[in-house]
Amino acid sequence: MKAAVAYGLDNDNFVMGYRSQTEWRWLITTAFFLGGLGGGTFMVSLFTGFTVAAIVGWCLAVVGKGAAHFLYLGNPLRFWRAIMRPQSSWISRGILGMVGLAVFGFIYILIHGGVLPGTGTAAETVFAVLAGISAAVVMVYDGFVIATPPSIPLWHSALMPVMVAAYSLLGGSTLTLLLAEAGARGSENVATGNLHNLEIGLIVFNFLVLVVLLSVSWNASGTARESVSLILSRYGLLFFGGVVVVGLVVTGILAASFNELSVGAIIAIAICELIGDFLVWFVLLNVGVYQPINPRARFAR
Amino acid sequence: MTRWGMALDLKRCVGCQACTLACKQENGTPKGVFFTKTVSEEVGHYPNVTRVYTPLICNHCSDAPCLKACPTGATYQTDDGLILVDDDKCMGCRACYVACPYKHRTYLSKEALEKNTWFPGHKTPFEERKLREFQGGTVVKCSFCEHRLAEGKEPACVITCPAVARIFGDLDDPDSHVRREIARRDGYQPLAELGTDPSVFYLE
Amino acid sequence: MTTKYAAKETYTVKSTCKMCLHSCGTVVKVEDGVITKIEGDPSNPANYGKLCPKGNAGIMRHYDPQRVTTPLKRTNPKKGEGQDPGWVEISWDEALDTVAAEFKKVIEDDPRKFQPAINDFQRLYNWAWPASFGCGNFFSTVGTYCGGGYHPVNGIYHSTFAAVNDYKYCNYWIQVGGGDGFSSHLHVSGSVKRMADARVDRGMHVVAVEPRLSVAAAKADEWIPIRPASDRFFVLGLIHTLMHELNQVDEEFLTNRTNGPYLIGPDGWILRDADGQALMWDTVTDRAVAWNAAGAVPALEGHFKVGDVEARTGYTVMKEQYAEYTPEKMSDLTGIPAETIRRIAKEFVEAAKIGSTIKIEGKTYRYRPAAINYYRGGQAHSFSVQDNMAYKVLNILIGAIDAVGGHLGVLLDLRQSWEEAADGMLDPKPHQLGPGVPFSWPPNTTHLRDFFPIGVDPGQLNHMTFQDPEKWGVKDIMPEAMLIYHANPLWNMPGTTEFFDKLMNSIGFIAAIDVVLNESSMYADIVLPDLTYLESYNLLMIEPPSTYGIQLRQPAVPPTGKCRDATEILYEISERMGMLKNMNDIMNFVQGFVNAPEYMLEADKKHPVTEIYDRFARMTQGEDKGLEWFKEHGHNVVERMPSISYDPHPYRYPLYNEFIMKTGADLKKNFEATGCPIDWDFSQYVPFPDGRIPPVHKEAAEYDMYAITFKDTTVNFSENLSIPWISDIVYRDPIHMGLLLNPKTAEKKGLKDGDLIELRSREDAIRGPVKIVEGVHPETVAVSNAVGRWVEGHAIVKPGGGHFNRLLPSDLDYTCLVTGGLESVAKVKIKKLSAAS
Repeated sequence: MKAAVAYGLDNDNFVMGYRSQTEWRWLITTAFFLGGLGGGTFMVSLFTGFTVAAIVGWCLAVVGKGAAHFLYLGNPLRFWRAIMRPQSSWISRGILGMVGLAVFGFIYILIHGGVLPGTGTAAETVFAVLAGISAAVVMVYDGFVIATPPSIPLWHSALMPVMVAAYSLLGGSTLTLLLAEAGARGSENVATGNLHNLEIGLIVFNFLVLVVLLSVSWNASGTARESVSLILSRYGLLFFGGVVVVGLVVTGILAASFNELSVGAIIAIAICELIGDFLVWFVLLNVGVYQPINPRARFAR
Repeated sequence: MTRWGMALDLKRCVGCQACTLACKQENGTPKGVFFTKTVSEEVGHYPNVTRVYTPLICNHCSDAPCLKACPTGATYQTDDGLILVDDDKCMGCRACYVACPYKHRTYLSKEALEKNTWFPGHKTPFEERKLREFQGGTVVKCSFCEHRLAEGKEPACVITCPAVARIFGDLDDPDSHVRREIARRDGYQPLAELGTDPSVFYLE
Repeated sequence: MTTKYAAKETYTVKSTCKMCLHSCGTVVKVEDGVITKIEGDPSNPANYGKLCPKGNAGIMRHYDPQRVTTPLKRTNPKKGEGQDPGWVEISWDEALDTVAAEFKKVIEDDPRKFQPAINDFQRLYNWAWPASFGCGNFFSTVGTYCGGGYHPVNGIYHSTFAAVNDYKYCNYWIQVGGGDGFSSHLHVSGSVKRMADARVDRGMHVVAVEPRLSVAAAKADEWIPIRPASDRFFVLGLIHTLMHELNQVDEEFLTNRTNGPYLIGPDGWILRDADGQALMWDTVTDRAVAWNAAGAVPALEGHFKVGDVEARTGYTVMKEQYAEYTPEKMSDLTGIPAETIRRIAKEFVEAAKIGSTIKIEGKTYRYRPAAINYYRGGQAHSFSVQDNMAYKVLNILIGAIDAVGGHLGVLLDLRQSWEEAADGMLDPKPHQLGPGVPFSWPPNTTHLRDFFPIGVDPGQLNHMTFQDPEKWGVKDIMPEAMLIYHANPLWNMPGTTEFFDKLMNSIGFIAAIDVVLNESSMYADIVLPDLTYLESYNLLMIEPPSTYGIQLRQPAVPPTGKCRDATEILYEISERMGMLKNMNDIMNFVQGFVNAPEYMLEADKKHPVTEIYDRFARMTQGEDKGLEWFKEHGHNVVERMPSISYDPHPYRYPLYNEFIMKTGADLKKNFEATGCPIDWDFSQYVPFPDGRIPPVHKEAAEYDMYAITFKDTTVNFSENLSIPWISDIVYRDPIHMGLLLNPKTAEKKGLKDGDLIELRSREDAIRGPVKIVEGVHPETVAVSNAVGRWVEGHAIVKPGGGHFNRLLPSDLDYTCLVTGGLESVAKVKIKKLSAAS
């Protein structure tokens, strides 16, 4: 007996069908968000030499993301164990990146900021490179964490690390612009124009990535499609209103309309972009749907 | 080598949930935690309709995504193929939970462990004793009743199944009952296309 | 022998389950005084080490913090929903003295004013306790509701309590309205294995006939949806096809092992010779001869003249009547296509291999590997006796009754005997649970048991008689005291809350014996705490479908609190009422000690249950197998021997059931002799099932839907939803989430999943959310047994929209007037109360 089966989404009951992940929600969203934003900001600071941005990025990534994870853990005092499986676990790799950023980034900031001697020397470059590699890991590893296992088809996509990286850089450039325009010390050398262009480019890029992700998922397995339909329905307002309109369209329009960016405009862009950045991960995490376990069983009698 | 595995016979299973509760007894799983259960599914349209019952249990995959995702080493694989969690090492990050394509892992919060008693505000002597074996803030899962295997007994769900729909044994032994039934009935693994190589097979 | 639990360590105890009325063998594990595991006993072939979900949930019953663990006294005189009884703990002496004094007062005045609601099925002997002081009342529908017609008819056709098809040899199994082998009934865990072995290992073909896609229907090779309460018409259609279209019946068996060839006069009675022997037509001498005439070759069919009397064989009488039950006509009544009825009949009779034999353990038996099986849904209808007879007749027609692979009797416990009645017939034993009540007008029982000479207690009729005591002749015996013992009559009997509230409040004194309180015992004045099955003894085996032997329930842990064994509680009450001898007399009777005087209980002693079981064990199993033997070995259960499974007797089966006719005729005489004014439909006492249509099909047109109820393994036979493990899984299954409707029906009525609806029959109404499922007949709304508990104050039970039974009219129309069985289908109309939120 062959029959088309329309599965429902049900986490509680003993029925065959889609189930969603219900564990990674606010705190993990926050961690994703802060990791990307902080890592991105720190990364951008390496190119702009903007110390305040480096400090802010470092704090967001190391302290902020670290705290979000720490708060989330069931047994936070065992956090140190997280580095035990770098050979297979992207979380282990990511945590090593966090440690690297914490240590190398801290030293880099001290040297670059003149607290430690060596500003402008090879030592600074070495620590900048080490910190940069660490920051890159922090920026993207969350994407690999969700993309690597085959469990949730929407996430199991090469686009995820790309998206994470792109959003990180977008957040990083936004925050850098904001800090620069706010007149933070040392901002005078920041090439805001380049950042501005980068910002617009990333907005367009992220928009395209989202379009590709959703259309590929809609046309792929029933499960990824179920995720997309959740995005369209239950999370429709957050996604279209928050991620697309506020986070990309409004941000993009604002960014494109102001050649000479005013502080107010930058603040508006930053708020809109950060809202979109946060919500994109909130929505994508919450629409993580697992496949029905045993579709072949429907032919049994 | 031994590789413990299970064949679940969809023809025999009547969806009675004896397995679900035998597991509950054996492992004392707290409210909301099921190491095994049977789900149902209506297939077709009246009058050409039937209901399919599918028992679900941790597949103890040979190539387990949960194992790879675990950053602490709490999840490990034994020599005989069991995927287990060392409660003392689990920090409760739930990476394994999102990595398991079958959603067979459950996060047990400290609060749930303390408060989700079967009778509101009361811990039965059974719970007093059994809940000791759990740690809050960790991810818990089916162990194929590892403690029973150590005593030479089959898992609790297997021995209780009224329909004898669960066959347990050594998948590495081509002459084992479970291997022979898988061969004879053309058993297949759940979501085999994901490449996890489950140690659980379904027979139709 | 010291009990094991004296030692504070890990140990296991072999015992038996009591999470339903059956009794699977168990092994209970105790660690440091805590029960940590209950498993099936693998050495016990009753369940092969398997346990159903309920058996696996026993720990949570035992450790339920809401258990009654000390005698309780009510302090709030107001009773009813919303009233806190204000329980206070009292001593056993005070409790027992009070109960005995109150009971004695009533019983000494008139024992008929006592109402027992006793449903402790594993201590069946205690059901007889009220009889010890001359009370025949029964305030419950337990037994009636499921097996009111089933058990007496099995007693008549098999001389056993129940029946089931042969799991071991059957190849073609038609199941009508029953859970055997799939979800419920006889020893479900063992039977599910037997059925799975047959289905999967042997390739047995299963056809399930049900209005709802039950587990059986889901697992069967074919589900045939049927209009509720029309099961008999499906069977009559099969019989018609066999008799009139295929001309395939087991003529040899019908001729020699049934009274089919007996000659019937125009008045419907069997013709007899001067010696009172039934007559047959001998084709050798071409004349009527006695049924046992040597050398005769009887005619199975034909019209004959015996003297001046026009006679037909019993078979011919039936065949001629069945000419009208064509598949087309039966199709109109059942909604099953005529060609399906024809096809099933053909497959069925072909699979029966009529005429074949098989050798088992060196002995040759009749081999008929096809049979029709059924339980509650297939026969709990207004003309239950006929429904039951229809299945038996079909099995007899192909020779499958008591044949290898066919339809086999199932003993109540160890008690079995097949005796010969007049005319070489099997002696009918409709009263498997104990003797009936002699006829009386006015009746001596409030549920009119007096009018049911071959029935089970029709408890539902209490509802009818209490509403008009004058008319039914019960006004002088209205209840003044009640014992509720492991029972929840307000849950299982028809009647509105208002009715029960008024009735229960009118009863001067109510005592309850139970483990936890329920809707009914909340009305009690005194509650006496019983032991759970994990801390008590019992020697038993209830309705084993495929095994023989008995087993011991023994304590795994010491009694909780001040709990005491219910039997010993009854002894205490009897003693304090000055009726110890009465109780010992009745125990001697029901335990069978009267037949073996050396084991008789002494009249002036309170006997501990262990002593009673020890005597019973020694009497039935031999002197070397007393209680101590069972304590050690647990059971002596073996696979049932072929000698008692197959053709356990050489007598004739009542194809033409004159016994039922005769019972009706005698009853009518009694009515006339006493001037009983009740209008009674004696025409229901028929010799074979006919095509009469149950009144449920004739309800007013506005009641356009059939409401049925169903259970599942998890909610099989009570003790369910108050157990958190059970309710935790039950309410995760869509079929228990609401009132099940077919999508087409829902669409027609403009209903959506989750809409709150009311089902109203002409009697009462219940409510619940709509749950749309494909697996239900479009004219049917199916109501899970798990929907609608209304107990208050229990932490686990979810209050629901009222019990299904309230929809059932409890009048004579909805009662089988032969067996007392109750119609289980109601016609209802659906009203939408509010849209899904």
